[in-house]
Amino acid sequence: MTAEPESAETRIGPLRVCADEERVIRYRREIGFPDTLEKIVPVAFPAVWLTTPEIDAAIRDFLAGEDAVPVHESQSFHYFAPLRIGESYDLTVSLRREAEPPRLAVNASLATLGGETRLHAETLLRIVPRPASMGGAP
Amino acid sequence: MSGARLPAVGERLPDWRIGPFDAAALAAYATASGDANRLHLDDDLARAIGFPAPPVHGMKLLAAFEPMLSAWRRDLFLARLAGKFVQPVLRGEAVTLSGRVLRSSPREGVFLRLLAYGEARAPAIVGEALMTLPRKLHP
Repeated sequence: MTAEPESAETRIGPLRVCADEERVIRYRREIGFPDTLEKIVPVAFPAVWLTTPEIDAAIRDFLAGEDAVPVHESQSFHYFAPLRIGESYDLTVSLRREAEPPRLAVNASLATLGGETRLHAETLLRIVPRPASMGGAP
Repeated sequence: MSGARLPAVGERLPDWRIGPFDAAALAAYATASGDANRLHLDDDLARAIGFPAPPVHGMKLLAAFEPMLSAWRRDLFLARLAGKFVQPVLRGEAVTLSGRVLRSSPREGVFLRLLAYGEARAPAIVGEALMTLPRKLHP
């Protein structure tokens, strides 16, 4: 893989997202929370929104033409106030390519519809050359 | 954080054991999270990359710290959670989550070092958390 220069930011959004109760409950169950009546949105739940087609497509665009796969290197969530089940938020995402080491930084900001910031999240994806035996893109 | 007894620096949380996760568990997480990366579900793809079995989603493991922290101190709010995915935990492996208080003060809250271990006992995730009361959160 040839070294890529640092890229300008690509911005996505704001995307309207909702802490849908059914999806939150399913996510809580999958990360090991006991089934209770508590209506708490897990701190990692916004990772669900980072898999939306718009963001996925942007990541694929960054990797277009490269025989490489993104590998999740690190993740952080920094809250200013908790999220609430049933509430909608505006999600804004910026993507930036870093050259050395080759990786993609995905920064997300979540705000209430009134404009109050609730969360900053950072995802680092290491760009790894695709092994020859893997064939085409997944 | 007046009124709440803060944990002492050095306090260790009880180890929290999760898994092992089978293929159905990984598929269920993929569905719930929307993470469609087939590396976690496809044995052939995992082998092509050099893993004897598909790796468990790193986010599934990082997110699992919250139930542990919540069980330890329900009166504190988990304001920050972060982790570096150091090495994969493979399907079928049991996982141990641990935590230790590194700093604790009424002003800054409770800062913890988090570790996730697979069966190799080498860290799979090196993470950190900040727990505080909502009124202590600063934008």
